[in-house]
Amino acid sequence: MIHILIAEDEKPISNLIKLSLKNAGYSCDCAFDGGEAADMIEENNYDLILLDIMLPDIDGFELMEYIRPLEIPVIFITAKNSVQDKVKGLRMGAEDYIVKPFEIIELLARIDVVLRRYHKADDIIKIAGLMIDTKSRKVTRGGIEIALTPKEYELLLLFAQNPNTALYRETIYERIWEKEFVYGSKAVDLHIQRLRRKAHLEKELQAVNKVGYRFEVDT
Amino acid sequence: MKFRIKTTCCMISLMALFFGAGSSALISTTFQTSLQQEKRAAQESYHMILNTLQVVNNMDQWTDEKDLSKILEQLSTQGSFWAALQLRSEKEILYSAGSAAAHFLELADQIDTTHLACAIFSVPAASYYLQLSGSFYVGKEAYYLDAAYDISSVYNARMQQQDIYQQIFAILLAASACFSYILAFFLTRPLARLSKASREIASGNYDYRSKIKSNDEIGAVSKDFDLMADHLQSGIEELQDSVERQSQFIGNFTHELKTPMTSIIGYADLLRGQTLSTEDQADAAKYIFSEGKRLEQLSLKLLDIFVAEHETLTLVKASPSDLIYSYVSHLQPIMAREKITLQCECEPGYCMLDTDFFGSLLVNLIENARKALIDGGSISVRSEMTDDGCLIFISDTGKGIPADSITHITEAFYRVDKARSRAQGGAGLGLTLCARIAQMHNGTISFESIEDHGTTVTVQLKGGRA
Repeated sequence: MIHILIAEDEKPISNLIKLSLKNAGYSCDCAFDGGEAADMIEENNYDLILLDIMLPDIDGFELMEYIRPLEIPVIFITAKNSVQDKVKGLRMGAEDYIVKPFEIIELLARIDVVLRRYHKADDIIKIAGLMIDTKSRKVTRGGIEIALTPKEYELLLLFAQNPNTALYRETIYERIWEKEFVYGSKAVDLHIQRLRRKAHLEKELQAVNKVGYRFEVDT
Repeated sequence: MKFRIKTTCCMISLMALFFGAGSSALISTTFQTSLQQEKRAAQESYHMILNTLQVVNNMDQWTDEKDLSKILEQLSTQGSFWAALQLRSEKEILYSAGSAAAHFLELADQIDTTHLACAIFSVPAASYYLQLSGSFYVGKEAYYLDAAYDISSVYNARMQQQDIYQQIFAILLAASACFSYILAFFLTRPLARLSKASREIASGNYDYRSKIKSNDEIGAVSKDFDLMADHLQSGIEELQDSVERQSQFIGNFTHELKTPMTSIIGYADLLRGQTLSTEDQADAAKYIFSEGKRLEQLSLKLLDIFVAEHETLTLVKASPSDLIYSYVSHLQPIMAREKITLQCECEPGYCMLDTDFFGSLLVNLIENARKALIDGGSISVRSEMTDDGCLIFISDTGKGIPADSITHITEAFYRVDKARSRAQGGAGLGLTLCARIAQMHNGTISFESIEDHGTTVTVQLKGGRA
């Protein structure tokens, strides 16, 4: 299981991330100041650290100096949306930089990318009888390849990363199409219907009334 | 053109004009005087010749013209003073001596009452002669006597003087050019420094000063310039400070705003999208509520500060003691529930206050004192009247403020204990508002604190006495 350290002094946010990561199948620890985070890094092995920059005691940048030799990937979390800070963070060796307020779905996607880059997450996701090879972007069921368009593949991956979560139409649209959702657009429904048919996910990909869709799988 | 070149040109022109005019006048006067002298000497000599001729004429009858010539010849051998002499009658030249005689002018018609005509003629070999011509009668016959005197020496002297004058003029001109250039250089050097100072300041080096120490006008300009630069520098520094404060404020404000927003949006998203356990659901709801409250606090406090920044003070005659009593009596029961004793001790009297802002100040400071108390304690409010307002002291027996935090305590969003302040729902703006209110009353706010023993806040308001 992937082990993640959340170094964030704001309790509500720390708890929010922890809750979301738990639901996504990660195990998490929380540290509320820099010293505590350093101690926990020393004692445990983490696959990823989510690091707030404005931490009391020892701040995120200072902690980064300590983490770097350990080669643990770090994603900075901060309210400061300045280019200088972003550059500084990335230059110091952070894998990514996420600015508050962020949506959990975005954080999860970024965590997934970083873990995959470090080969800590499996390249192959097995879900609902499907095998999704994230490296070659191939989807197979019982050894038979299912031909998907890029958009359909992205959709499937999004659902696979957020199982049992109701995804809103606008959220799906914004993640996959990377554009502002236009009210009344049927693009999402159209693509999901085709994905359902092609990948035989009629049972798993459920419509949630007035909301969007949920990928129902047994955990 | 550079100022020093201009000055030099002016100096040279003036020099040339005055020196030229002066020397010309001098030379010409000298020349005229010498010429007059020569003329007088020549006239004397001429009269002598004439007299001699007339004496001879009177003593024995002029026998013939040859005698006349002989006498003249005799005169000329006796160390002659003239350069040329000529005696003639109406018809012929009787006697002629000297080479210049060939150049005699015809002056017969210019002979005046003194029987003398005077003219100057020159001979091509650069010598000048003064010609005197006169007439006299022997019997009925008119005779003319012309005499020429060499006055080349006068002309030569003038020429020599002119040569010397030209040399001196050239030297003087060169000297004055050098001198005035150097003078102008020294005079304009401070201007160059002033100009350099302006350029330095223009290019952003606000520390640069011209620092010219002299008692003249340039020194005064430099002093004024430096004074202006001082003001400019302090103005710019103030501006930079305020920009920095503003960006700091915006940075902090963003943080304060984004943190609760992230939580609220995140938890709400979790609630709508996932089936959470009842425990997690309760947690999520709790955080949405508390973070929402935090945003509310933040917006209210910001509104207060905004009002304080933009509203003008309406000073009215009020009694600080009455106001304090009314607020304290209102707060006492609430404090009692938290085992806090709230007392006050106020000097009666009236002064000019804005009662709304005064109330806001009081409530904020009492609220801060309450937050400093860990498990009950006491808060005391005292007030004193002063000549131009009042003094308010609010003391608590709380945990105190660390010494290094006191200077930052009125900065927006500054918190001594971040976690504790959050837990108590503070926005980190209370003292910023208090400091602003004190400032609006021309007053000050100061803090005295001993850690673990308590804090005393002193507010001085100078709205004036009623």
